[in-house]
Amino acid sequence: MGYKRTEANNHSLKKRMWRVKKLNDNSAICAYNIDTDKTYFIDRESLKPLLATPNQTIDDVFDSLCDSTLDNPDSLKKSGLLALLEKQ
Amino acid sequence: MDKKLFLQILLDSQVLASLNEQGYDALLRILRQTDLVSSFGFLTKTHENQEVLPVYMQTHVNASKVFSDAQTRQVFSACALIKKAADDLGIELLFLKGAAYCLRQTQNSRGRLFSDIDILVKVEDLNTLESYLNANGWKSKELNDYDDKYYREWSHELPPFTHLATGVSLDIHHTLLPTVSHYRVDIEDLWRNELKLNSGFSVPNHAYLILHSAIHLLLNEDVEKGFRDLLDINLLIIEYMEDEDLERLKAVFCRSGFEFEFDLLIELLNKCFDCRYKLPSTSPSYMLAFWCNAYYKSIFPAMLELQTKTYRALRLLVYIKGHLNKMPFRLFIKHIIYKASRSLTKKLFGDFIFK
Amino acid sequence: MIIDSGLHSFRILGAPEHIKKALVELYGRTDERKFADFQIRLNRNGLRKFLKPQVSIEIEGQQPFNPVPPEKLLPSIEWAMNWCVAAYEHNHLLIHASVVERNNKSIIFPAQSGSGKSTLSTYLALNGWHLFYDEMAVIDLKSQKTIPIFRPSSLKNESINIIAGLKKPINMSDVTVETHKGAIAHVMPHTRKIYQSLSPCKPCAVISISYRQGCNTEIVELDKAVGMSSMLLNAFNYSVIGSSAFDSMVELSNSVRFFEVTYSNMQDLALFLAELVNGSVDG
Repeated sequence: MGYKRTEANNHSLKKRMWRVKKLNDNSAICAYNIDTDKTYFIDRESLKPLLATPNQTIDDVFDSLCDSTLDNPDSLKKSGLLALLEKQ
Repeated sequence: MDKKLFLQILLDSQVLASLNEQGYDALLRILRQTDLVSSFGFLTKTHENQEVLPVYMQTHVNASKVFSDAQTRQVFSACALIKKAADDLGIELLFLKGAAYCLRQTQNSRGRLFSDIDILVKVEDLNTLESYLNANGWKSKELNDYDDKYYREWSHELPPFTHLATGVSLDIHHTLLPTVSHYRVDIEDLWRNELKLNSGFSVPNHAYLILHSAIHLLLNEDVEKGFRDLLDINLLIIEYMEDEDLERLKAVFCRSGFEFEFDLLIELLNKCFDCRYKLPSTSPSYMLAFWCNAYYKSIFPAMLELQTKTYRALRLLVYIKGHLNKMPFRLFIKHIIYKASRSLTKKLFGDFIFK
Repeated sequence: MIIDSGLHSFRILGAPEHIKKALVELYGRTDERKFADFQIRLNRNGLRKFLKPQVSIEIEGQQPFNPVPPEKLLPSIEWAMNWCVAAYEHNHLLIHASVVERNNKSIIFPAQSGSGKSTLSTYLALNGWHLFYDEMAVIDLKSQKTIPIFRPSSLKNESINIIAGLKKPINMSDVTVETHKGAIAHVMPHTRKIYQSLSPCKPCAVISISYRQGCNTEIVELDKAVGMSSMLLNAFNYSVIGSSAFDSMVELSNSVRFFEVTYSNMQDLALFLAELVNGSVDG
């Protein structure tokens, strides 16, 4: 039973980690915070800060948020969505 | 299932091959009663190796891991919240027991379930912390005057707090045993030997983690979860101690007056887990043999015991000893009369009359 | 005695004879298998044996419920079985809901107090549908299929009369009066043989229902964000399971339609539900 510990404990508290998905009626982005087990919904109106140009629409923003964007922490940050989630 | 078989299963997972449906049924009942289903999965490696157990048992072991993983996440999240409180106030804080195991990622923390978060603060910081908690979304448990006095004057804690938003339960200590007991834990030495983790949390070192668990096991009137405490201690010793360290562990126990408890602990570990620790004992051998037997009979779930008169008598003795360890005799009598009258009222008029 | 609900088995120890009889009548048969997923032990309380006797309900060493007099045991045992599933079953996502099935598609009715979901589910189960479970949607995390469970529905107060008034042959237990929820009766709407012919299947709709006397059937389709967040409020073990529950819930939300329905006429509502499973309701 059990084993000897030989290495030092290097655990550090994980930064908040997210799983982010799109609802396919484009009603919202939903996100799950893995550390707190809380779920958040970002509705269409709340995506306005992500509009990059005057010509861009909310639909454009939705279309740009594909699975590969949402699965990748760097893309998530780049899209501006991470900043929105961190404010929740 | 008898105790020997249960212990053998935990020590050697190959024994599982000898179990039939009835055996697995008994095992599941015991593991659920002792909150050890997920711990069992880690100890026997049946969380990783899904071909050892029959499917009907594996499914419950898998479900238990989902639950214990969730509790672990919750502990980290709750500890971050509590640490923030301490940082805001500029007070020192150590996490104890289950929370400490979890933060330190000890082997015994794997699969372990947690009922509440225990913390240690300096006695002079208690009032400040209590005021902060009351003003920041925490609520202290509603107690009657007797129970409130038990916590504040006789015991060593503020009443437990609950975080209203998350439901997290917090027990705040300034020492490890009630101030009215005749034991005096060298709490300054505990603070001097705190361990600061890379994550920023602080916990006692492994010797004091073991001491605290031993206090919980051997100086407590309620030994229902006693086997889990002994298992915690066994795994902590295996993980952190070379044989010569046991002398240093004994020194930590003796500093606070727990010479007998150390000797008793070694006897129990040798009896339950076949540890074969050989250390010279300073306690009378008849006392050690008697109390080792009493605890051996008391710390396992009742279903592993034959319900003889001897069994019941030994459990009662452990109960009385646990109380007397924590309070002087005159207080014990007062406490017992109060508890007995409440118990009798519940029995006559219904178990939930006080709710 | 062991109650076999399909997904789980429950060992009931210490049941008085009248309870054993009632359970056999509801479940068709019991057995004495050696391994039970859950164990419930009924204990007669010591001193009170001679005054007003009470029975305490011990579930795997815990006592989450108040003791009850022997004549009120049947609903307590049914609640105890539901408690076991909610407390320990974390291999599936559990939503507090009723689930019915037809044409190999299920409909989930998330539970709200006073919604009439049990009455509706029982009515549907007696009119061409199958009841999967009156207490929870038990959802497979990988496939999002709802799992059928062999357990009775639980009718309270007036709904007992409504269902009895249908004058259909039904397997209904005796009524237990004066529980903390009022009068309770249990209905097993199909035989074990029919249950064994059922298969897990994907839901096509999640419907929040609300009974209002005398109203016309009003149906509002909801967007998925509203529907999913409403389902989350009724999820027992969503945060226990964690991120795979989130993934599963999103998949499920993306594959069902969400509605809010106010009704007074079950027959009328049943027509709409039949159209849903036939795929003939336009978006």
